[in-house]
Amino acid sequence: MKNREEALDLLEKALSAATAAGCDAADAVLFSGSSALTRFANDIIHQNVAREGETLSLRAVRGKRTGVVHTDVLTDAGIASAAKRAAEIAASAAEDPEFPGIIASPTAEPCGIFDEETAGASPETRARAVCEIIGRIEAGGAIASGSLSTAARSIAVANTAGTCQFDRKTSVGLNIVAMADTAAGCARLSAARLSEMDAVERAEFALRKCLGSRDAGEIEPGEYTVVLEPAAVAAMIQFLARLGFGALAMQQGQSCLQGKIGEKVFDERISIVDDARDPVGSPFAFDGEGVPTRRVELITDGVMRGVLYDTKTAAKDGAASTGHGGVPPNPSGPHSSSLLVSPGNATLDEMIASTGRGLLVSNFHYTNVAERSTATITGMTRYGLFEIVDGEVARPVKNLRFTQSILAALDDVEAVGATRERFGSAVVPALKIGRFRFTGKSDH
Amino acid sequence: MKELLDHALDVARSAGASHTEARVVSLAKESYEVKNGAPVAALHSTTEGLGVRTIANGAWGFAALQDLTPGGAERAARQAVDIARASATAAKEPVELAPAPKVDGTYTTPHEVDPLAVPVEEKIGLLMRAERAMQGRPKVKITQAFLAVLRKQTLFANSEGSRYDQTIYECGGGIAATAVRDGESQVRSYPNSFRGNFATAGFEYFTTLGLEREAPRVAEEAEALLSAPTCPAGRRDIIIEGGQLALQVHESIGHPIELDRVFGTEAAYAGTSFLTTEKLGRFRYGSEHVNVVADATVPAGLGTFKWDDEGVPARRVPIIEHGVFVGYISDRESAARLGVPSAGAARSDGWDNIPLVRMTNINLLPGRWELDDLLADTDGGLYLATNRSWSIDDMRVNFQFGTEVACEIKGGKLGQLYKNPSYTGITPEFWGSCDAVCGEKHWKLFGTPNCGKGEPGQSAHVGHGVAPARFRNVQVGVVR
Repeated sequence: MKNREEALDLLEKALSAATAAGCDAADAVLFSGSSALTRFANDIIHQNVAREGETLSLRAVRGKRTGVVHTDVLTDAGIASAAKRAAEIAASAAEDPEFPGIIASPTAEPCGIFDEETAGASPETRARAVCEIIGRIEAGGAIASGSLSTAARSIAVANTAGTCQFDRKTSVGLNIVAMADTAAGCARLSAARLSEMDAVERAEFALRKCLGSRDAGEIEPGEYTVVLEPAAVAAMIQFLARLGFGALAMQQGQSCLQGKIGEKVFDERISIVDDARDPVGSPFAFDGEGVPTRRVELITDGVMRGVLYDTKTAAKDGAASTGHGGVPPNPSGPHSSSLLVSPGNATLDEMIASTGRGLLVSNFHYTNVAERSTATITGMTRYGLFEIVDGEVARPVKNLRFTQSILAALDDVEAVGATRERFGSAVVPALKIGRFRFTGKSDH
Repeated sequence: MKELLDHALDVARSAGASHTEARVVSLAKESYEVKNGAPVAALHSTTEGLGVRTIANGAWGFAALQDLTPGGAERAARQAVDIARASATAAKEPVELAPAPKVDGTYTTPHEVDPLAVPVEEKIGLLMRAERAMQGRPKVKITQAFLAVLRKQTLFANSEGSRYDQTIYECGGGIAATAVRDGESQVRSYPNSFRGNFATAGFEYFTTLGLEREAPRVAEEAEALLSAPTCPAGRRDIIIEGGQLALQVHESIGHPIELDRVFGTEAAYAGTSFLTTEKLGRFRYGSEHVNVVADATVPAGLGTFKWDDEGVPARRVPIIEHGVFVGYISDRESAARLGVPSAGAARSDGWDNIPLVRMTNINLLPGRWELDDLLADTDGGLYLATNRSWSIDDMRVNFQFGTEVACEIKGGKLGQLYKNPSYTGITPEFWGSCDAVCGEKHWKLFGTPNCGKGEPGQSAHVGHGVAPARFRNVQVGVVR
């Protein structure tokens, strides 16, 4: 993996090559790193992979015309060839009147968490952890599946306006599924360091969920009070961000929160920020355009406060980019980088205890948008669905399909969990929601 | 490159591998998007690297890198063997592979015009014209045109003496119009949603799509949807058009027949399959009208090739015959476990990923109906077109799809337009309710270039040949 000096030297070469090819301006991004993933199923490691590589993205600009080349041929000749190609594309492309040009950004203080032990994790290290997981789950009478990944990555961005950024991070991803017949339980972990991983604790969590899900009974679809565990909440919040928080969706009149800035849109217990520098998430210093990431209050006490910008959408609104741009050309516009939902004050047990009749939902599966304007999503429950009766988890039940507006759900919050969990780039608590609509059922 | 592959095989053997596959993959892609009168994406990308997969101590290891020198090949081969040895610490039975014939040859997708050789101006010009032809309607706020082309060369060699040089060309694109009013948006697409339709073909495929010709209709329908009533819920007879039916086949037949899923190797991610092995040859998947093959040989299918990524020749495999389930798609490992030959469906996403069991072209074979006759025979039913959303459970049983549009069928014609249609069902019940499939004249291949599977995530390019078909008494809309 390239260090800061090597990466920025390479980007300087790319920008010089673009200028030499006749471009007015250019920006360049270098991805560099390695990753490995050990995958297990049926109590054995069945897939085990490692890869390393580097990719250069170079955007050439001629007036309002742009062309982008991605290449992993990073010799001097390869870079010159990419620059020439990008310049040719830009020369051939029609103008994009909304292209804001290449802007200068101040250098961001790196904030990525980089752990040498994680970066250097060996296949034996991963295999030992997986063997522990398999051993615990097998001993408990279930079958183990899942994956353990480690990665180390750096990103550098530079442009002809003087932007110069570098940051790096390590990551660990653990996914464990314990299965017994059609019952299943899941435990996950997203972290920056291997030392944060307690594989045995996670294995036992998945095993408990699995064993508790055996002999699931029938339950009819309908409207239920639900206690959503953090994994399910994370899926819902990520869809909300996709449908509601980006400036491009707003400018196109397509956001599910169109025209709602300053209005109360959710229960006052809901607050959401996007803060890519907060170490509780997966911190990183800048976006794909080299703009330093800014903390954006999206929802504060149920009131919508802000949207996410890249340079193009910001220019259109006369605003500044919030550092949520993607790597060019990125026609899909700005996107969330680290969604943090504020914790409340209820424990999961308290949420269950306060529920007369409802469902405890462990996870969602294969969720997709059914209707944009109301942010209605559909999907299945997975890895444990339980009926709550008179404040207690009464029995496991078979999975249900839900079709539910996220807007309605977040306006009907009855309790927010006091602790949070991280799933990828989202850090969320459990939520109790008054009415949640289930529209179909499965046989398992 | 031949020497590089041989070197990787030699190093892996010396390091203790009992089986090795080495692949150098060179990928060149271009993608373009024109939106509201301006090109918002013009991207060319190239990537090239070496992937080495080995079996050592009876277990798998894989390593991939971009260093295409003898030193790089040696490092990848040694790392793959080291990883395989680590895998063996959590192994039970040694990996076994179904036999495969020794192959040696060269293949290139038949094409008339190299899609990467067409000038950028010409490509963007075609998109600008198609996109412009959707403009002019006040409520149509977003007009988009897409084009993507690809050339993927794979040099393959394995320790059993097989080797090949295969170059696949892909080409495709589409248009979409989005009408917006009061926070509501409605999309119409052509020839399929999510960036269009794709084939293994040269640029001549794109020019036959007729995007500019269809553009005014697409924009008109998007605007009309804003004023259309919401599709009423209830049990209805439905006719599903090709693009939506392709995704129905994909999700409720293509994925459940993947033999690795059946054996549980995707359990922790995408899920398993209801199609357990005791069902082979006896399970009634659908009605007698349902005949499905996995065919990697059909011309122009997005899942068409000469050899898969384990060196197994492309095949046409029966999957469902007159409604009865008769075959899986498999790779050499899963096929060996079932005691059958590989279905030739081991496919990887580039040089840095292992082959997984992936769809090729999962085709619903044509029936005998004329579409006009079928419409005339389905009075009061609904015609559903173009996928908008999809969701299915982890065993591929309970599904729900949304389409861009529904039309009421009255007097043999398409009548009242409805917006936000959806339908839901249980896989074998749904295919059991199929009582008519349109004939050869209406049969068409659809390409899905974004089929996700595996960890790390891989995206496969797969095809589905379908003709419109009728399904009786299906739940339309959401049950209240």
